[in-house]
Amino acid sequence: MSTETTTATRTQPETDVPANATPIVCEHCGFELTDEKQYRLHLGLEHYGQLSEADRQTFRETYHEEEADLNRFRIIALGALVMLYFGFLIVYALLAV
Amino acid sequence: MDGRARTGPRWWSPSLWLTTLASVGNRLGQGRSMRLIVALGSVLVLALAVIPGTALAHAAALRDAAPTTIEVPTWLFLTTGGGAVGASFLLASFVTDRVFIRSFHEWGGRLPSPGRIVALGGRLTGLILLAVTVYVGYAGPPTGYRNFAVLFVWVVWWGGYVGSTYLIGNTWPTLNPFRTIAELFPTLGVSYPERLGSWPAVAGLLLLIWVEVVSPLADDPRVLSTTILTYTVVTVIGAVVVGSDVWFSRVDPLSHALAYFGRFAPLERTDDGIAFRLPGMALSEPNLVTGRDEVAFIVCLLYVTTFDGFVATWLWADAVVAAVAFGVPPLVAYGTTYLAGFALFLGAFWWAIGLAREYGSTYITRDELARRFAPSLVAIAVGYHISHNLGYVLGLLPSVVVVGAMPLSPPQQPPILGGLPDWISGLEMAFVIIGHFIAVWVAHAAAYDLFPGRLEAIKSQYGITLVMVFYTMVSLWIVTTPIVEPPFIATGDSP
Repeated sequence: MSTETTTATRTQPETDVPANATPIVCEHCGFELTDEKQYRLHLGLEHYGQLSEADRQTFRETYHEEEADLNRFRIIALGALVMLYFGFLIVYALLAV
Repeated sequence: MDGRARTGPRWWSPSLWLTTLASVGNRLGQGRSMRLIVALGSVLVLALAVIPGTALAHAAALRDAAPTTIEVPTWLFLTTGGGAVGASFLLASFVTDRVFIRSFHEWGGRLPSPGRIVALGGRLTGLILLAVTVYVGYAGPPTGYRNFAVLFVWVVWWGGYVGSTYLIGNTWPTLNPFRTIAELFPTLGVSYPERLGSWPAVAGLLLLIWVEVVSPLADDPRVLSTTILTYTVVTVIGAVVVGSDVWFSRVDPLSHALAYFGRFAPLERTDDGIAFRLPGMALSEPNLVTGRDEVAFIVCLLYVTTFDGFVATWLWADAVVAAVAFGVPPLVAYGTTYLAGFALFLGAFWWAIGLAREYGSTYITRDELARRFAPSLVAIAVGYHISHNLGYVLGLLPSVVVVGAMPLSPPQQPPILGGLPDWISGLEMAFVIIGHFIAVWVAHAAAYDLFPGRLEAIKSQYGITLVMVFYTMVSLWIVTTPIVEPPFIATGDSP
């Protein structure tokens, strides 16, 4: 183990892979992941200290790409909150007299 | 220095919000967004769909309990509660910075441990109170509201002391008089079968609450004292056979339940002093729950408080009267519903965990996910316990003081705090919802610890949020529905 390791590898949760699926297995801890994106993120979050500079760069990129998806989600969550708020406001205005 | 993700803008950074808002227009039309809208919409639609139609007829009854004079239909009031919990999930989904999320759960420190004298004092206090309770239960007046044993057990211990285990810290391991007695005897050291796990505690909790529901335990001091004595004998024998540590950490349902409540509390005794933290934040610890038995125990803890409240509603009274009219023996009707309800709670949780696995895009086993998400339910049980007991404890506190001052010859009508201000019932409802807020947050934090993808972590919460929204509505309904004496089971004069 290199002295560079800053994050101790945690015990990973147990996995159960369906018979017809082909998981991506983490080379550092054997944790099984569903796709490339999950794997890249897993590497960066759990084994940052053991990664090569190229892998770290890929992790950062994947992390930033996820940011775009998250932003999309946030907008919808915000929309749902607004709908929830005004929905209740209107229902109360009509019914609670 | 933690090497984990520190990249990406913070959720509170203004630039993030500006870009977010600026991109509203060109993003909403995309297909992926539509799927998300459908997913989120379903949370809200389900919240709106599970409106009990019959509850409309009881809006009038609720009006009496509601803190304002505005007439709010029951279904709307329940939906609002459910909507608030749904909204808390949406709000939590904005917090996607792992370091920030962890910072809440890691905040804390240590205080010096209390000395042995304090611990000894605690043990003696526990013993004395147990002896006085049992004695007064037999020797005091037979009416529940005049007997110190009944008032002490239900108001002071169950309402107040149990409240202290999650609001302050779990002192039961020290105070537990059953343990103090058991430790006077040598242990036989029979090895506890590991495969039993904590299942005996699940069965014990179900049994205790069953006895509490179908017997006049809450009103009849003689029955109460006999039950406590039986419990003492069973507990001491068990602890002597397998050893105190094993018995009170695996088998004894009370200690087990209070230990979980204690995990919610801001203070906790550890080997090197008293640790303090934010309330509920220790519930996201990875190894808090160790297996299926513990998951079942937490679900059971939540379930039994719900059932206890449910049997005192008009809905149950109507249902059981109808069932008995069909020729079903009352105890069978109570028993099957009790167990079926538990199965329903377990099933709903397991289903939500299945959804977490599906939407979280992961191969992590259901068992593992259940283990990590179950502790969030403790926060709900805590909120429910406060709201269930707050008014009761405040109302009967004067009785406790007066009857406690002269337990063997109490006044004919001990004083009660009648006409509690209306905002107390508002406070009770608030606690149900606050419990759910904390639960949503704890599950959110656990998901961020488990899933590599932040979006997957949010999506994994769909099922759990749905179950919580539904449960909020059920428990708000139970808390605000007027209490009806459960039919067909023996109860004495209630306080």
